[in-house]
Amino acid sequence: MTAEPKANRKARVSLTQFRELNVLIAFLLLCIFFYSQSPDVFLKPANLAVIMRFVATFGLLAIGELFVIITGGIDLSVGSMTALTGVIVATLMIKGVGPIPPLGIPLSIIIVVILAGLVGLWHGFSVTKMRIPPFIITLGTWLMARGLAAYITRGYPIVFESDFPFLRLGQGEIFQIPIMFIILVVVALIGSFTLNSTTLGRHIYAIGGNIEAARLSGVHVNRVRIFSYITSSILACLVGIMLASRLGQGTPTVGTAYELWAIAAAVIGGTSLFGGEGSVIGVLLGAAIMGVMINGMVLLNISSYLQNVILGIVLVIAVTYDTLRRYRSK
Amino acid sequence: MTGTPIVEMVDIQKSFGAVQALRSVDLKLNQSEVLGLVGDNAAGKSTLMKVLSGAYIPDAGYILIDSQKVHITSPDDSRHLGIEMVYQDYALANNLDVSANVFLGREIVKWKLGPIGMMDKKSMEEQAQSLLNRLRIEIDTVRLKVENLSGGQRQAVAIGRAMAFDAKVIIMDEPTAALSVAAISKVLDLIRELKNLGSSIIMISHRLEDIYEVGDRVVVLRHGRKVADCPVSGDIREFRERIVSYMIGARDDFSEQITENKAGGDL
Repeated sequence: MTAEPKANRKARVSLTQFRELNVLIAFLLLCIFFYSQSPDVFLKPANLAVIMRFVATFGLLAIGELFVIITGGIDLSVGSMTALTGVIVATLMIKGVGPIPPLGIPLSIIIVVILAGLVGLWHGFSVTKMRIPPFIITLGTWLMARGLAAYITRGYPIVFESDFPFLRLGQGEIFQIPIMFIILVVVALIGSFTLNSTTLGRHIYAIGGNIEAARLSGVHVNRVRIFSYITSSILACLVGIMLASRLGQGTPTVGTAYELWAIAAAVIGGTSLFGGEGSVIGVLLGAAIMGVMINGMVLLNISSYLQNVILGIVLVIAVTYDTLRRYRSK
Repeated sequence: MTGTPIVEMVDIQKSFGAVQALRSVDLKLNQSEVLGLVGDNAAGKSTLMKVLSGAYIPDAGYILIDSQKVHITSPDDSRHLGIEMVYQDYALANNLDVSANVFLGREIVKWKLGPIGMMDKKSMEEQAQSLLNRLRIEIDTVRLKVENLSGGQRQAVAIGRAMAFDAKVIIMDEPTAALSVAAISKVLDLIRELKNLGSSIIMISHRLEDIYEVGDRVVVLRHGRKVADCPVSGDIREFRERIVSYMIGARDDFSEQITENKAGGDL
């Protein structure tokens, strides 16, 4: 009698990790394939650094997106937000605002993070208190943030001097690992801990599963949803700061369609757009699959037009497979 | 019935615009009693229970819990007083496991940082498992997701959830409405088990045979008024006919205030 529940427990644990396991296997197979195709380049530190920067960019955006999608929402503003925050942080550091002289690096970063947090607060407030669909309210920011970024810069990039210390953030490496990637790992650990081990994380999942049940159970539904939108905006801001540093400029055209890439990474990693399901590790694997595929296709000299076709096919296969798997398990 | 009532609702009135949903309803619930609450649609059963669970605030009347006058203005208030509501559609998050659902909104934490707590999953799983064992709810493991449970098991989890926090009073809204015959008998067993453990239960139901099986007393509402308050007795056919005649207005035990509708007059 006592042995039976234990056996069941094991079975269940392997079943829930099944989804991530599939994504992991797909990822490893892709790595092996591209390594076999170009063994001398694929594993070179310089090439790995390229992949890691890609994964850091889309992984961070996708983790933010994950927090929102699990609650049953969506955030379309993250691509535009990377441009706006990148432009603002560059302006603050290089030009200053009006009579205010250029600010220091830490202060500029703090200000832009607070601004992004306010945007997230606005999204969350609109979705919860004003009952505006998340798709619409974040679509508004998608337009506004992009427009504002172009307006601030008059369309031209704001370029850093090549010895500006801020550039280390996006361009620097520690033991050949890009600092951007290390930041991703730290954020992923915090995000994973939050979702799996804290009451906040459990409430995020509960809201995605049954928002009415969560409310009746005394979960502070609005507060939790607002928190997820703030998380998404702040992570978009973090990416905006890193990309400004990486490119050496704050430019209003950066991050175009990144929100869709981030959503694609989340979905490939097993996140359900209906809410209630998804994990940080899955999202990271989704971003890693996209990073390795794009890198590998470049190494194989596949036309960049065709690359998008192939990525689209992968996305459709991933979603179809997941839907069928879920359908079968019921 | 012995002892003081655990819940006493006195002269409860509630209107929605021109509609008088509750007209001076009194309701008593005794310790370890299963009270059936019946009535046709729009008779006011759910409204009355929503007043008790804090979802509605009555226009007039008051509530006594253990003979103490209480002010219930939100579901949180009623929960703090030991009143738990089990909703008709179970109100569970299907993507979470049994243990997570039992403790949803009231997780056991190891430490807290502001509003965010670090969960003690092990304690929650152990307590959820021992709860299931105590109530003899048959579910292999509390780590099973609710979406993998049958309707009867889900209802059992929803009821067990109410019990996890030592509720004095459990209100069940149509606990058997959506269940198969086999599942219904299990849920009825569970209600008996709760009664044996000392809980007091109000059960809203359309299924008079269920109330006959587990109920001690039955209250019938009609058009927002109490028309009957009697022990469950007699054989099932006689019981059913009697209750139905109250429900359709053919009988009325509390009609002395209303002159045109004398008790049993129409029969």
